[in-house]
Amino acid sequence: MRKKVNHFKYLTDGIIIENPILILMIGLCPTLATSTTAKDALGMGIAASFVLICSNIVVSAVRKFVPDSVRIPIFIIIISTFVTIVDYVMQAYTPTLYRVLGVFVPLIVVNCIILGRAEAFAYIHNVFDSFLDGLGKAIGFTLILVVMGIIREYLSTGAVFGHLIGPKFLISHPMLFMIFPPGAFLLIGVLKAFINKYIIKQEVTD
Amino acid sequence: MKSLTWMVLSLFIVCLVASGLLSKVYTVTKVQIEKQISENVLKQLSDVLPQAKTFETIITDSLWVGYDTNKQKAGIVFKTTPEGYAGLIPILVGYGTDSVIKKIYIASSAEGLKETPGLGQKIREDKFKNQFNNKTYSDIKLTKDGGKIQAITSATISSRAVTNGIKDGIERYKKFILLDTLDVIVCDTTLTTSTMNQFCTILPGAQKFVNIVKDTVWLGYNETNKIVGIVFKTAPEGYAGLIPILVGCNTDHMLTKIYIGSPEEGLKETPGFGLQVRNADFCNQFANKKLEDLKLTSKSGKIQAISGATISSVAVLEGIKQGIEKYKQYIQYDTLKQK
Repeated sequence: MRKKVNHFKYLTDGIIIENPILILMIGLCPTLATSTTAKDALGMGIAASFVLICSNIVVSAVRKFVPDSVRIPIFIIIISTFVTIVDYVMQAYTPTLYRVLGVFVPLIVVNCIILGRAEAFAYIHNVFDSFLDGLGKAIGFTLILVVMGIIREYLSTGAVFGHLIGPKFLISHPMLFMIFPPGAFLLIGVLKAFINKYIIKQEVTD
Repeated sequence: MKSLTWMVLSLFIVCLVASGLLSKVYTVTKVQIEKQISENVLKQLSDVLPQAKTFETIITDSLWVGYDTNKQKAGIVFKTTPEGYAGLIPILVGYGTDSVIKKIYIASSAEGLKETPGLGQKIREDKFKNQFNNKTYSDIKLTKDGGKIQAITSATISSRAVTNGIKDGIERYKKFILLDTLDVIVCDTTLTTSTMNQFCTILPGAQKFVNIVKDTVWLGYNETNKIVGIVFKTAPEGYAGLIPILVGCNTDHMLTKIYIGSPEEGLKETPGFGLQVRNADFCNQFANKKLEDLKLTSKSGKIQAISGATISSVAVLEGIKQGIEKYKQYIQYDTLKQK
């Protein structure tokens, strides 16, 4: 019984306590670039999540056969294979999203979260646990991406997922600053401050 | 040693499996991807030229002719990319046979538009874009320049770039509207007699020349208004500067003759060495050659480089080859007349 609870901790950890963007602070580059609107953020989140979960599963499955000395090249081959699959599938079936995400689809290969979890977790845990860890981190990543996407889209266009909501003032005087990376950085800082104060108490070391 | 074998083997197996999987995914999605691309292009073209149902590519990625449901020519669609404030602005323009702009489409930032969001990017809004609908060539100027296009406040550079880009595009491509009535050939009247004679020597048989790409490519027609070939200018980087070359290419895609500019015309190659590219022995090598023969003799071609002037010789050869690749599409221009 106790063992079962332990397993699912791997999943729930990734959502808040070990959230990749706000706690581990990795994978920030695609976060800044693709969270300009809620829809793009969701698209990127799903694409990266697919790669993360699949690569965690495969890396874990072959961990006994992969010699330590060549593990990094093999991780990268595995990850880039899945990214290429995502690339082709998006190009074929979701061309508009593909065009919007542009260069950030192939850049999923160097997303720190994916390579980081392969090295730090999937290589040393079994397949099921690796799947849960990947799923948890993926949910955490997508969640923050979408939250940022909603906020940035709302402040810069008055709309969310393309539907106009905001007051007229916001539409005629949009916060253009939020479209650009500096605005995104600021937002990450604000979100991190929020999560530190109200959700988890992280120790502040001087 | 066992670990070394295993290192290599594991890498090999992973690569094998990965490439196998990827090639399968590729074949499965390839058809759909190509379909998406052509559908997208067709959608964009139909959007700017609504009366047209089918399109024919005249110049890849630059010029299309649109035909309506009765197979009659409805107009042309051309792509122009003027320099804006922060980069090039890709614009698609639908231009009808009545010499009136139907509609324009300006690329989004995802498609390459780099103008400032909130300012220059406002050119994409209907408020600005739709001003071009149903305008003629003479209307295409900013109101401050005496025309009918209202520029966007604080985005004059972008507005002007779009306006001028469309104007240039119309100037360049309007002759394609008259394609069917090409019995009246619009000759290039800016050519001097000496240049005309030069062109006639380069492209034997041609008497009249039509400028297709401004100051770069001309179509050559004989007395019976049949296309003979093209003459184009190219200026590859040589040893000491650019080498101005005039090249003639006939409808069989064969190089007819070349002419290399003199030092007075801009040639800077070293006398006694690179300058020898002007010698008849070197130039005549190119006469009546097919594209496949245009390689150095050392690479099983038919062009002998000048000893002591390899850089200049290779520059001339490569410049000519690239020019032919780039402009040979214009030779097919005439087959469109038979539609």
